[in-house]
Amino acid sequence: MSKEIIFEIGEDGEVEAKASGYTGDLCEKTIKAILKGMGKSTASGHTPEYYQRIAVKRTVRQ
Amino acid sequence: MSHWEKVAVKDLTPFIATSVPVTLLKSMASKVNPTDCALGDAAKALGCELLVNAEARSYRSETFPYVIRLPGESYDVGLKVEDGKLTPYWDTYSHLGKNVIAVLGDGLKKLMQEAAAAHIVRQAKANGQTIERRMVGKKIVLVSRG
Repeated sequence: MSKEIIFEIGEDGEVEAKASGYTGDLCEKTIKAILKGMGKSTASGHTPEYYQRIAVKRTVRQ
Repeated sequence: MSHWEKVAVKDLTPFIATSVPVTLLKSMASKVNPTDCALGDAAKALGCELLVNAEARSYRSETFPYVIRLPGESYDVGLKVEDGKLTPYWDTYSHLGKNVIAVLGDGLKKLMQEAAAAHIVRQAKANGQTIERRMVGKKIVLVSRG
């Protein structure tokens, strides 16, 4: 799966970023690196897919 | 999608080097911090000129630190950041009517949008990502791949 981040920039300068194809915390780190210095984050979170991946990973390790 | 984040431009100060003339910024673009030029690039994309040097001294103040020269017009507009939003110095234009103010306001919104886009493009490229730009309605959509 290709790594991709989509930034939607509204007319007021508000940016909404969504990442896909990244594993673990890399998606969050990459978004923060690109938006660094732009402004304070007003909201952030993970989708269910993020937690499902962690669950699968832990199951494999056991 | 595994992660999402919302960020708003809170202050344009990081995007601009207030002590360096914009003309110099353009010629030194490769030598200065890339983010320093973002607001100047955004103004240029709108056909405006950002004044940050002695040329704008009569307008610039600590209250209104930025000055935008509008295309084809003989007047400038002073700007300040208030409550996280770029605010124009309306008093200067009270004689021009509400329509002009509305146009200026719309232009300033686009400036905020372009400033945010320019910042993301520069940071993404510095991060080794390729980036595509398109318009979806009134939104700028940037797709970063790496």
